[in-house]
Amino acid sequence: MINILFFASLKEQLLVAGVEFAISEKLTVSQLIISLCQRENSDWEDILRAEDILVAVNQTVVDRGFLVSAGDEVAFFPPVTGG
Amino acid sequence: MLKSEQKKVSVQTDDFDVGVETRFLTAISKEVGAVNTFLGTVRDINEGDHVSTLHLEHYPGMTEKQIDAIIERSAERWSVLGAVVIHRVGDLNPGQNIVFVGIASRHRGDAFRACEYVMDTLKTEATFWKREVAAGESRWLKTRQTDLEARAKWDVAK
Repeated sequence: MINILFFASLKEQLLVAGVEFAISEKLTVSQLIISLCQRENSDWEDILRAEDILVAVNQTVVDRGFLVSAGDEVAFFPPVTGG
Repeated sequence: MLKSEQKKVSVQTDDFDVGVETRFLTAISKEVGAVNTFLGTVRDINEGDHVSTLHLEHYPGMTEKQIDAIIERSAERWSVLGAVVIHRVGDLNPGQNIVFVGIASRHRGDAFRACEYVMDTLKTEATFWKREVAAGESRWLKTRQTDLEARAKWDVAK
């Protein structure tokens, strides 16, 4: 199982703060997005694949080729605007 | 690496006291000869519109780790004896405190530069998001080009 989190505008667009997702083998972030959208909602794909959306695995920002394993925490979020 | 008693990182809804945080920095060591602090507050006007409320969200756990890593990077580059970063989340109104960055060093040059580096890096890397209510509408803020440029100058400058 992996724990998937959404933040800020993404959480509002997807209408959910997070989902749990079962995977049987390691997937790249890109593959994970495709599998997740097939299960949850095909409308999510354009939102999650948008170029400016950032991805963190276990709280470290990664690129879309990063391999996700069972037990990981995967977060999707828009560019940051703190300070 | 700074020891845990040399730094303070907090993401909180409560306000903070600049005097208390400054005294924490001056009391870290007798070697401290310079403390530079930055205070960020909520502006009433953004992109020409009157802002009534600012809502801040973060990624609990990751945000604190990122800030700690930014402080450590500043300490690798400059002589840093102590650091405090406090960032508020939740709903804030114009005039209220949002962020405090304080750096203690032996000399002012390190304190000035490390403080600006931590602030510029926090703004472009740490997982915070702002939504503002302005002109009766709620909108998520977008990254400012000037913030990216402010961060980029540290990649070349020393």
